Amino acid sequence: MDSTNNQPNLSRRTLALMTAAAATAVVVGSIGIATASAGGEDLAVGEEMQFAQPVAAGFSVREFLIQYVPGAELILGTPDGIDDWGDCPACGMG
Amino acid sequence: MTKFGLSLMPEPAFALAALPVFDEGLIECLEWSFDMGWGSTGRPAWVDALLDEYSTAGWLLGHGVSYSLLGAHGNHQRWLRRLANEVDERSYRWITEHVGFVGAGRFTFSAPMPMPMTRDVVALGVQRLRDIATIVDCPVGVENLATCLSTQDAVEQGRLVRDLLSPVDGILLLDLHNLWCQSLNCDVDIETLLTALPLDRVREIHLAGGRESSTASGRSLRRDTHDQLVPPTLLELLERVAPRCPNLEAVIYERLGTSLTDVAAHNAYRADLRTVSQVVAGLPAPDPAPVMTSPEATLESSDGGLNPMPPSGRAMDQMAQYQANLLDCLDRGRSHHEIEGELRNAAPQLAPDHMDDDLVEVAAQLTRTWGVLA
Repeated sequence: MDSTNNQPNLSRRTLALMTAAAATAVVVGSIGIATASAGGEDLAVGEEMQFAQPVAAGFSVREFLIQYVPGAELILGTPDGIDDWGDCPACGMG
Repeated sequence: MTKFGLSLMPEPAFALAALPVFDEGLIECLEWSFDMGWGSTGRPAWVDALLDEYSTAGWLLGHGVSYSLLGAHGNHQRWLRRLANEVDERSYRWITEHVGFVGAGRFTFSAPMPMPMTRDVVALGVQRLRDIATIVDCPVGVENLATCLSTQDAVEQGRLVRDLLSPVDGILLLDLHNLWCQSLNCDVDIETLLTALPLDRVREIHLAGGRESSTASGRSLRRDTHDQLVPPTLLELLERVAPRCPNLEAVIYERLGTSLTDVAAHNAYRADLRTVSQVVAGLPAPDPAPVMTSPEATLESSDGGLNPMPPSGRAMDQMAQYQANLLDCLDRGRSHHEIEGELRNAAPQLAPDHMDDDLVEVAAQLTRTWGVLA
């Protein structure tokens, strides 16, 4: 962040860490699908399922995050990915 | 310009929902309830990264939830030791706590509960604020509560806040939703509540959403649940109140991370943040006096207010008994008549009259929801 004019200009690392946390929220949703699938009629139970719906509809988590979360490509490995600071400590995605 | 910011929540869903508005540069300051991060699970890396950035920029606002400012007994010394570590680690612009007590008797924690306005209560609160001020290198202050057990609690809160802040030259975190809840639930004109508060001490304003709930008697009460959008009435109130707060520096939007449960909620939350950000940007530019940063400066009253002696041991015992009995009665679902009788026996000098059964019912729900048994 630029401390001279106090304008929030978050570092790439902070945005990437937040994106990783956001990915965690989405992944929790996709795990919810697997759990619910095993439970048959319980499939539609749980608000967290809403996170997983795009994934269930055919998006990969990666596609969904890149569409939905600005900066997601930082943790999901694009040509300008995060090699300069290594794997994400929040979720292990690098 | 008044800054706009968020109360930071550590849940991944909060990161998912708020990331775009951080990326857009809308979040100019950040409030952190630092004692939420003192648990055994620690803080996520992304939370630490955000805290570091806003601390470096001078716009990290500290807000405690578990100090128990008006609590007679508790773990105050341990809390203060942890606060000392916290302020060694990061720079906070100021530190605030709630005007109330949390936990007593069987409970180690609870939702903040109000205390009646007495000389001993003021003396205790001033002492607790001074204890914080001797540790931190920034101003200290208090936030007004939404919870009240009687109309008297709501009406007297302004005077209580004034008398607590004056001896320490403290700052006021004005929670407009809390104030609005009290105005609606106690049927007191919000202007009456506002006028009682020291608006010249307001450095920070809280905005939040809430919801109506029905009591057993069928009465509808507004609750400060932090799980909804900020209502338009509150934005109108902000536009009316902010010009009366010459030292206002920051407006903080509060929303529980656990309430951001689906994509629709995320979209609505972000749209609301953008709306509120625009309203804050349109507020008249205040000209705040510099914040006092030395502990010594906070130990003298700037306006000749009360500078009370610490309460006696007997007074502390009475307050402790009052607080323990109140939480116990709320947890057991006692009526307001039974609670008044119990408190009158335990602490005659503190016992309130005219508790409101519906407000007591809400306080009982809060105690059962947030109360942690020893």
